Amino acid sequence: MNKAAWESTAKPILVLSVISLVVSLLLALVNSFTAPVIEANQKATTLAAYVEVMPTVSSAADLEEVTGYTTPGVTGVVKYTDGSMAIQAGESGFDGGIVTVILGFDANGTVTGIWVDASTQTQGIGSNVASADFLAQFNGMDGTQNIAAGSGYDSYSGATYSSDALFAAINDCINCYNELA
Amino acid sequence: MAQENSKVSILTNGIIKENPVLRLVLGTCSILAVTTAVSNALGMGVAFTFVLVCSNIIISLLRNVIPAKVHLPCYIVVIAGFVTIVQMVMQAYFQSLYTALGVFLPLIVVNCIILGRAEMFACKNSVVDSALDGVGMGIGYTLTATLMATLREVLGSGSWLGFQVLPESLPKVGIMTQAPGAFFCFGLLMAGCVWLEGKLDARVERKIGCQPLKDLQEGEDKE
Repeated sequence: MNKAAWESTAKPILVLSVISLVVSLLLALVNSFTAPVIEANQKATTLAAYVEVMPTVSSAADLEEVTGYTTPGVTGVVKYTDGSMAIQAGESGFDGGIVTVILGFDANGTVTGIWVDASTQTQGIGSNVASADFLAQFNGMDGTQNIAAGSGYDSYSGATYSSDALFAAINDCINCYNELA
Repeated sequence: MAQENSKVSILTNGIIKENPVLRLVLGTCSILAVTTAVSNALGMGVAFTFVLVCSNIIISLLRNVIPAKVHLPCYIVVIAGFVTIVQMVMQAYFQSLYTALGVFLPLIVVNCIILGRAEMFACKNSVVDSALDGVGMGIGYTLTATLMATLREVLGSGSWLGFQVLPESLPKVGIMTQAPGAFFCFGLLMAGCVWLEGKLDARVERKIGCQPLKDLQEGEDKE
């Protein structure tokens, strides 16, 4: 191969390939350290949220995982010996970001608590659907009936997409509760 | 002494004279988006500065190795690598910050300031100078973001860094937390920067894009 061909064709390909390879290796290395920590963090967050919405449960260790549900959108279900249940569901909101909802139900199907992660939504706008003041309206509602924005429940003004996702995820939880109860 | 001066001037360049956001008008997308709250602006500034300094160092180290033909793809790979590392480390060890920054963190990859400094500075200068340039530009970006977020958070939500500073009874300027408010602030700060530059008698002749002023004038003569 002559020098011109090396400079114009082979060298750029080689350099780019080597840089990409080195960066990929570095990423794989960092990932091998952080992936287990991230997974543990997420699991701990979810478990803590389950306990938060179930007032009768004091420790995540008492929860029993439920499988075999078919409701779409639902990502996890746990139950406690007194018949209360917590259901996690996610629906895509603004720009495809997932709004995650965990709804707690007591044995009679009354909602005992709600936990929302809207961090994927626009900060200061869509993320507001996770604010405690806004979510207070769902506490104590009948967890066996689907709900709709405008009829008894408000969506967050200015955050239509995120509110729609929130209501859809809440309805997923309700549907799943009806399926399992 | 002269050399020390030049090092200091590289560092301070990014704060007013070549403030990446207000004078070079780069990276405005992220600035407009993350400045709804001071805490977000600070977190973004720190993550951004880290990526900028690292990418400047690496690109400066590799400046004689990377062929001109593939320089942009190479820069992007290096920058994207650092951003992903920051993202993974932050998700693992600083979860609250990770949740707060949300989608803007991966968007650092396409932040024009980082690519711009790689192209305008790091590929032509020594490692130390490039690192200093990265620190200076990072400070400039963080200061601007914090200033803008302060304006927007105080006026729009009545709080600063999450603490209530204006009495609750005072009406809030809701538009400041929305996109138009970001543009108002941006325009005001930009005007303020130009005014400050005039006051300091440090007016800099502006070039258009990457074209040297001389070429531009020659081009005009020909017409």
